[in-house]
Amino acid sequence: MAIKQKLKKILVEELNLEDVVPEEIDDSAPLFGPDGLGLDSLDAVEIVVLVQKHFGVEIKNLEEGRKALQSISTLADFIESRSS
Amino acid sequence: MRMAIQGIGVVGGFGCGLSALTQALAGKKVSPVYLPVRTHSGEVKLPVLQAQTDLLENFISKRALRRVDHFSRLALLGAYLALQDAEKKESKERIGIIIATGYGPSRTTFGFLDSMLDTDITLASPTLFSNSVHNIAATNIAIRLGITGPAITICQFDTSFQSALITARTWLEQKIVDAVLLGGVDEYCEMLGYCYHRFCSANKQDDCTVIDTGCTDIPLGEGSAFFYLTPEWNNAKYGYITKCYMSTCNTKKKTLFYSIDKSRNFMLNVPGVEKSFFELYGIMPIHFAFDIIIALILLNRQVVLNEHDNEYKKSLMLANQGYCVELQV
Amino acid sequence: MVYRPARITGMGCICAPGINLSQCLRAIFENTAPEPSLPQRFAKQYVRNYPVFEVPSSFFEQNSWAGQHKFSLTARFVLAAVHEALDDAGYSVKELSSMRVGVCIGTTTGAALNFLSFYHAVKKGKNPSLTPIKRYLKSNPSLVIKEMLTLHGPCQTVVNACSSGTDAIGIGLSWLQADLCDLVIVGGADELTPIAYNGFISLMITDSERVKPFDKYRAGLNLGEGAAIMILEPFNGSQNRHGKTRGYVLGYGTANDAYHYTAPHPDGTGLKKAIYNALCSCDKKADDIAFINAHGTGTQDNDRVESFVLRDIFPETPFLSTKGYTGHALGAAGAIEAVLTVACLESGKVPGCAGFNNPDPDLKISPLKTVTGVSGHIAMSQSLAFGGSNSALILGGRGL
Repeated sequence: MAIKQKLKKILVEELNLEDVVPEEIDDSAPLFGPDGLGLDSLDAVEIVVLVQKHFGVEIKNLEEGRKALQSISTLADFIESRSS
Repeated sequence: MRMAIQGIGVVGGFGCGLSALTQALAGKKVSPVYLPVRTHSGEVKLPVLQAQTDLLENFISKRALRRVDHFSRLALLGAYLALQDAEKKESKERIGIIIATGYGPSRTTFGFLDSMLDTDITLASPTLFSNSVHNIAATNIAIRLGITGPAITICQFDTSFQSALITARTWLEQKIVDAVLLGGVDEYCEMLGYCYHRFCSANKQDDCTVIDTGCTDIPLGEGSAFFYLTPEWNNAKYGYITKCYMSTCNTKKKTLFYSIDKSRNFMLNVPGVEKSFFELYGIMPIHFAFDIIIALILLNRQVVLNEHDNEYKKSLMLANQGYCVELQV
Repeated sequence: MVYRPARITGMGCICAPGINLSQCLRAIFENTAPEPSLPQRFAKQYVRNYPVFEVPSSFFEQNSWAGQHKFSLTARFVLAAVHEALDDAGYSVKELSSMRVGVCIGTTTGAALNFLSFYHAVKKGKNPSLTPIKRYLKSNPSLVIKEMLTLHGPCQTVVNACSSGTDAIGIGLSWLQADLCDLVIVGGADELTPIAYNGFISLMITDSERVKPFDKYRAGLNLGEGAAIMILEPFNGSQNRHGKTRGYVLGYGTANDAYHYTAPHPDGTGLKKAIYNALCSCDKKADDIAFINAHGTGTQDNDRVESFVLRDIFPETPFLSTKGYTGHALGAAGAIEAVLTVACLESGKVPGCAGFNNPDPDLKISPLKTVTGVSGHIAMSQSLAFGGSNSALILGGRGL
């Protein structure tokens, strides 16, 4: 499965976003705040763990995380760049 | 000062709401489910009176519940029901939240341990950790109901609720708040069931001499019991808590993992009602909160247990673990 | 309603800088307090690259409570601190039995189901000894004090996350006001556990170096542990045997943000309300406060919100965080800080904010850097907690 699809599925399942259909998440929509998925700072650190669990990629600190955790696209790019 | 009971919200194995508990008291059968507990010598089944929280979706969206665990759902549902029942007039800034719990959010606590132990310590879940703090139920109630007064949680096994009553009265008496949303909440989890099973099956010399488990056939329970309390000068919807104090009797007691000591849990002046009511809600540390609601049902004549009922027309005294509480209608 | 002040007639404290209050103060003021180091007592699979402030090993060598393994370490800390405080106040255990004595203690791990190795063994299909469960059942902090001292008054274990210790002292004050007891033992206690340690690491709010409160380069907290106890008696009550008063608990306020599980409200609404309530509860003004012992955990969020509120209400008032000496002792933190605050009022000076070096232009205010004399007899100690609890105590020196 492509990284983006897999990411969407993981976020919906593991963050219990029952009202969201994975396929309907826009790749470039912001993960945080009211204009996108509406996630918050606690979800951010949970995503750090999820990325490590499912992709074996470590986000070392929140500084690094801030850049990676903009949207599905930026997160997928980050995972891709680290998994090679 | 007397505390006026303006609203009640109750959730347990008997169902949801005061009417469900009233029906159970009047004789409607309450049935446990048999839940598996894994032990080193195989699986055993324990009877548990499980509480459902589906009705919470009447009050709150699924999305808002996504990180709310079972423990907090029990508490939230009790809190919503009590507030709805009370038709409260007090400002949300002037309402205090006091939560009493015997063991806290036990499922999430062990869920976090699972996340630490199952694969790699670096995969410990921050969401589970932050939901495993004991004040998580008070937090969820404050956030969902927008209550910005003081919020505290008390955790000391089967005296948590009795102790909480004392601080509730202090807050009202000292006008720190205009109303207190006081609730007891406990949840069942397999690990608590496991410990109960281990204590009950332990060799008497080995374990039960130190820790009295009060093992019986009565199911373990879970649920929440909430009260919306105001100072005495308001008219009380259900009655008043007129006294709540520590008595010096029975200070020396064994620690109980799950207490069901009938000799210390009874309504002092209810002739013919020496029985306890654990069969209705199951054994859990905050059982005293349920007993208060049952006493109010009796005082308000919603259920008449026997021919002696004239003798407790106006007031009832409940005693447990050195705490005494007097109710009046 | 305005509280009658509660007299503090005895204090006890155990934390990383020392195993009693005088040892703690000497280490803090002489700048000999130890730096944090990696956890020594945890099984090594739970240790990661983040230092903590453990209670010194001398506790285990010197304190008679340390060997009472039937109790949790949290309970041993609290019993040791209670006895230090009672000795300080000049009470024997026997004298207490004829009084109405209340107990109110804040904790987090002391009431948590934290039997990690027991649980691990059960998961692996073993049949472990029930000893850890029995220890847990005997070690609830307020209940164990009540039991060991045979007390008859109200008894409460407050589990309000990181503000528990502050709240327990405030509740004790309200009990005296309500005349529920003649004397109340208040404070907080917590031990370091691999569970809280890994939990805070997972939240990415722990610093891999020494904590740097209010610093431009702050990178999170270091956990700590210990216990601190105050003996409170009514202001107009009969004098205790030695008639000694070390200070006063004057006021208390608390309010919830109703905002988020772990993040403080960005505008500090709950904290402002807690401070306002605390000041009103003893009829004091912001100008009356000589210094503030802030929560100052060293996390980005906490220090930003706290600075914002302090700047707003107390623009000129000196402040510090003592977490660079003690670490963040969770449920004990508020009690340790209240005791240290009263001790500072007593000695007429406050220490510098250990770990702070570089002012953060975004915060616009900076804590004290070095030992500073105190002019005035009233101080404030405040705590912020997971779950949005904010609590503040107004404390008085004996010169008041």
